[in-house]
Amino acid sequence: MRKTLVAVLALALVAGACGDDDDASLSVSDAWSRPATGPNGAVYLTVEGGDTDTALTGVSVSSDVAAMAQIHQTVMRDDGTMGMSMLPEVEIPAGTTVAMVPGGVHVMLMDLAEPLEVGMTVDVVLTFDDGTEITTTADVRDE
Amino acid sequence: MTTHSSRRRTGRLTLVLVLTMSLVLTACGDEEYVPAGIIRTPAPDVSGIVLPDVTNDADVPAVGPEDGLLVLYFGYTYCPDVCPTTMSVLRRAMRDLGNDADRIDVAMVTVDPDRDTAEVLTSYVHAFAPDGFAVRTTDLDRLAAIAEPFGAKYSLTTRDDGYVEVVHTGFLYAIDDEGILRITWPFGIDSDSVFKDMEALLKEYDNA
Repeated sequence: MRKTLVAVLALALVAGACGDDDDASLSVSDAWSRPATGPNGAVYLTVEGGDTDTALTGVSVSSDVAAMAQIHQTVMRDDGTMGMSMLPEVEIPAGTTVAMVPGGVHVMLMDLAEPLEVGMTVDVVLTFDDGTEITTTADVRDE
Repeated sequence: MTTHSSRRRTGRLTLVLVLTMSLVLTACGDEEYVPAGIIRTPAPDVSGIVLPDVTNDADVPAVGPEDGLLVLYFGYTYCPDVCPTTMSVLRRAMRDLGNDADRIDVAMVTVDPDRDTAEVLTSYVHAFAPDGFAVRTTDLDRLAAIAEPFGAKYSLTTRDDGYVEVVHTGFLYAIDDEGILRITWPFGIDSDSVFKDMEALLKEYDNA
């Protein structure tokens, strides 16, 4: 009986450790934005995938920053024009790095409360398909 | 006969030598600059285009300043990604030019004149180029006539939810002081390439 209990506890510990590892390895870094004087802004960042496949399913910022945030992708069409479309999600396969860079996928900040100026920071909350939330801080800088 | 033929040979040899020497000199001295941007042939003459600058409430010809360039962009202020990326590239290239940046005029034409008021457009342009021209007309035929010679394209669609979807070409156009479109830079070009291309074009004036 004792042996069984120990075994169960040991298994629980291992399972718990594995779970923690998954959470720990999914991370967000290098978040930044250009200064923005127009009505909208964009945040770029890098997501490091964890041990399991996941997807970025939502982004949000405080209403002090912008009325709304969405995941957008800039695409070039056949006629050479460029436009943006909203993405419902961005797949983050296990162990991969997904870089959201100018001219590609970005967090679009719609209807900025105030212009983004160099030196400011913007907190962005990223939600993943398993419910994990990661808050990252984007630096506003000239780049 | 023999003498005549050998003279001809000598003549040919001299010609070949002279040509070779000039090739070597060209290669070693003024190496021909290969621009990173796109060169259109024949280069379009856009000097007849008049740009309505709402910053100074004046019509500005699509011609660079004397011994300088006018760099023109078609965009809109609601654009958070493509336009700021390109205008930032231009700003950095101009910083690298140092004092020669004074020889570059910048103009941004809005393709979204209904939403881009003169005030909003001016502050947007000036964030990247403090003396830049904010070009805006609500006369859509006039806007189309400005865009056409450059091959600039754009379209606006208002979705059911009210979101205005704008698509546009993302090129930067450099026009010389005679109103000739000398170079076109595509979206994604790096600032160092734009700097070097502008520097080479300015050198042409200095060497003329």
